[in-house]
Amino acid sequence: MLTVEQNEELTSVGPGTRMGALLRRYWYPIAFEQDFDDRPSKTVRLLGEDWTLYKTPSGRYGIIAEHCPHRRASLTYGVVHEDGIRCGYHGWRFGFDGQCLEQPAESDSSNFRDRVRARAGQAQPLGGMVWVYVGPDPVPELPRFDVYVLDGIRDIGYTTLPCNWLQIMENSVDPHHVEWLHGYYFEFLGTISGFEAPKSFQKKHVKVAFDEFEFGIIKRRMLEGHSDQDDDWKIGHPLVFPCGMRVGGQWMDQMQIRVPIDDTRTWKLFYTLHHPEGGTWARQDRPVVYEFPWRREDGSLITDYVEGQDIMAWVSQGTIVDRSTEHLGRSDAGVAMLRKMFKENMQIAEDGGDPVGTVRTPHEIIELPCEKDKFGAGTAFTDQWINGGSMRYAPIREELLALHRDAAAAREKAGTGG
Amino acid sequence: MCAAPLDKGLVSESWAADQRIFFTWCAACSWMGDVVRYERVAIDEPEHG
Repeated sequence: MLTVEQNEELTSVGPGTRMGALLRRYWYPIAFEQDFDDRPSKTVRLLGEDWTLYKTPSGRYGIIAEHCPHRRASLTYGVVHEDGIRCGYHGWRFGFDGQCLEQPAESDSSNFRDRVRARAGQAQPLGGMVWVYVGPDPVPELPRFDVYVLDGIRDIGYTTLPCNWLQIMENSVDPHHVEWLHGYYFEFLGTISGFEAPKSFQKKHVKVAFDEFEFGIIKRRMLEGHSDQDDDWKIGHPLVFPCGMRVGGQWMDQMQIRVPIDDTRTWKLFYTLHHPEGGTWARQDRPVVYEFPWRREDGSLITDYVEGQDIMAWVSQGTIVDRSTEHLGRSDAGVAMLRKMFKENMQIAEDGGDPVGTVRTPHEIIELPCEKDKFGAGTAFTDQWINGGSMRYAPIREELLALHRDAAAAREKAGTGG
Repeated sequence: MCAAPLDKGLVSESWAADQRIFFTWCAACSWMGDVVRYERVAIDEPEHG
């Protein structure tokens, strides 16, 4: 249970807030590269501020505060040049760093433009998405986590949720919910609705543990009938601070990304890499991107798939969870630990240090630990996750199922199993 | 523990049966652990002469 003030401190992400200052020290995906196929610029909202994200004819991305410093018109409706963007209203031109380079209606001898600078960030593509950093210098490296750079087939399910990002993150250090929400409740729903719920998620938890590591917190679980040699305990999987969770199994590796749009909305992405051993696939130019539904037209929530169940929990907790009225138990120790990590790193950032997960060294790939044999389900896991999760809405669902089944058959034939 | 105020730290209360447990983190010295509220201060004396 937190005080009202502590809750506000942890959930306020806008400019001038402690959490906002911490979150601005990280890179976020904010658009898909295909968004720029038919237009050079779009408005995006991140951490409570509106930005113009743009792409030059030669393919370089830039991000600048949306409202022109002149008379506050939107730069999204401007002209994109190779060296920046020009406001459509009066032609003021800005470089990638936000410096005003030209003011057509002002005298050339005036140094007025030298005293005008829009706020600007850095923008780069990675894994089919456009990532942005809008924090202070020095700009950290964009972490090249494995799912974004390894070869394979990618699908990205996305939606915008009407809730604060933190309550979604707390779900990631709450292992027990799996056997209840995705096990017991899913089974109950199947019984009353006439479908068979996947069994992978129904095993009981015997022990859970959390370890801090360089990119966040590794979560481990020991299920009934398992030992400390099973992947769920021996390897676990990480909450990637401050807005991700890396999960996977059977060569389906996923980053669940929660981008804080503002205090009351989150852009939620399920970014999945499919690269099964023994499988073959044609090179994919860009990920398959699709919006997935979580609410029916009548307003009721869709809970007959795993991520829909999670979304039900996050959204029904309230736009911003009132943590001053919660009652935590011992099984919520991971949640308390995550809150501590946020407070600790707020202080580190304020003291001039690098918060957890900051990368300063150029690199090719960062591999994250993640279970291969998830829940001890073996090859049945892939069908259950694709058909029982948000990937059931993927336009390439049948191709994904076939990819994994064919790969499993090839491994069986080669005697490598798995 | 360093006895610094916890105003910059974190204290998060939870329950286990009748016990009130405070997950506690001190921002001054980074100590992290559970503080359990006593209902009664009782001490088991070891065997002694």
